[in-house]
Amino acid sequence: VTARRPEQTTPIDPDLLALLRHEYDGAVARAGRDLEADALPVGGSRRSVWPRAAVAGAALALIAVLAGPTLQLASHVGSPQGPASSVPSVAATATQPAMATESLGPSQVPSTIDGQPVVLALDAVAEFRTSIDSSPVYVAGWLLAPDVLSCPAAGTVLTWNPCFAVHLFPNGTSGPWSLSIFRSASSTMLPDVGRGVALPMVLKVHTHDPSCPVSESCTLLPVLDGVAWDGTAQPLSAAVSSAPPSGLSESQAITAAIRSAPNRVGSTLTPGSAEAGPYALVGPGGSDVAGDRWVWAVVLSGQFYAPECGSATSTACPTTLTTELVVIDYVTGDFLIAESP
Amino acid sequence: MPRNIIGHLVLVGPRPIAGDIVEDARRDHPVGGNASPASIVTADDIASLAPELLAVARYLIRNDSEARDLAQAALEIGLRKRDQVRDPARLRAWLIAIETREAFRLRRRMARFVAFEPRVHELATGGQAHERSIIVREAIAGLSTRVRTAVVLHHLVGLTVEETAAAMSVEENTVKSQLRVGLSSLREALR
Repeated sequence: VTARRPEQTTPIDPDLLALLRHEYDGAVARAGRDLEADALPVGGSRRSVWPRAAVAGAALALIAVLAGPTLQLASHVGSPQGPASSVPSVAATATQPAMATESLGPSQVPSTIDGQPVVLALDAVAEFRTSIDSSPVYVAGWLLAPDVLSCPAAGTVLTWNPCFAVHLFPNGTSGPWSLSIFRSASSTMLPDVGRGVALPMVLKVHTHDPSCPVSESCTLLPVLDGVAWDGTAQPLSAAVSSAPPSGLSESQAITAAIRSAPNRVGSTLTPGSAEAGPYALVGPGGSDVAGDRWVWAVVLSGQFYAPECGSATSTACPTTLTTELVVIDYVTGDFLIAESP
Repeated sequence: MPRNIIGHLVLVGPRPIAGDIVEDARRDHPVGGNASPASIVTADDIASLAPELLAVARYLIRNDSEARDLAQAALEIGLRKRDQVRDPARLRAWLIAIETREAFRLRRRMARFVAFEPRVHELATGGQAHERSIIVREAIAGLSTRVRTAVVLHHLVGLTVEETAAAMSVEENTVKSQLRVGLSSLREALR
């Protein structure tokens, strides 16, 4: 009997091996993060030692048993209706149960709904990026009055167009960043939010929506299931920070605004009004300035090139604009944005 | 529906948390417990490998709920039988072997049902490196089950061919053949 000769192990090139090892390290890190996220305690802050999560889990179970039907009311969108289920109305705020909360700016939101952790809008992106199925995710943020968006390229799949998405803001102000939550097949009606107010809410969303075409890169985009919780609307002024201790005076602000006004024709500019406040309240919408940044908004009269003219030295451009809103930083006077009516 | 190892948590929680098993084991079997006094592997030692077990489970079974159950089952078995481990340095290979055998068992059980295994397509949001990572992941996922298992255990986890063969209950030569096929497919996919 001849012994079978052992087969040689295939030599592997170092680049491929490094690639595989790198991929594996990433997978282990992702798994660690997921396990840590699963171990979210009642209080909302993440615990570093996830094996001790049983204590939090047991507390959660106890709260759920005690809260009973009330919890069901508050989390009515948590019922297993599948990812594209629609919830026709806003959650009843009058039935908010007494439960552990976490801070969302000046408001408090439940830290868990249906036994699942509520993720703040800022943290949700990482959550979506690592999601691998359509399990529900509860995202907390602020709903503001809809802004006018420029949507030049609607694309062929309208449901995945950010222009038609729900925008959830992280800190109760407009600003450079909002989480777009797409509607897909959901017909959920969101509450009307007036200008100047912000509504804290928790939305139930999912990724890996079945309507995402295989050819499109929408698998990891969040899709709206419904409103899981909504709080009390607050004036934006209550949701933003107070004025910095030292700032420009009104006259200093006007001088700085005149100096930095873009698109001006000639040198004569007359100040109209000057208003200080959080950008969300006094600045124009649709910019990338943080809503809670304190600014001076100064209206100047004079002659201005239209913004679309590009270079202010262009002689071919009509100069019909007579006012311009110039926004500068409240403390430094740095130019932030200008807008002509 | 996830397997309910800890029923009271499943009533309200998202999925049973693997760490709960460790806590339960500590409570039900305090020092000594099922493990002999000679046991040198602690529950913490086993719990510290949970991320790796989940990562491996996700390669072996592409459905996340089942992968979590699988990792949890491996942890549970590991805790129950930890007194069998004489060399702590081999704990990792031992647990992953347990998980691999459980994965094959699970697959056999699930084969009786019609399975819809949706493929996960990821959105490259983190630049070129992230995109590359997705391509690697998809390439691994594209391998057949046994070939993928061999590649994951040997080239990703770092088990020896001997350990890989033991985990998969096959001969070493079989593993070597599967590795050759797997690497060839990966090279092709990543070209």
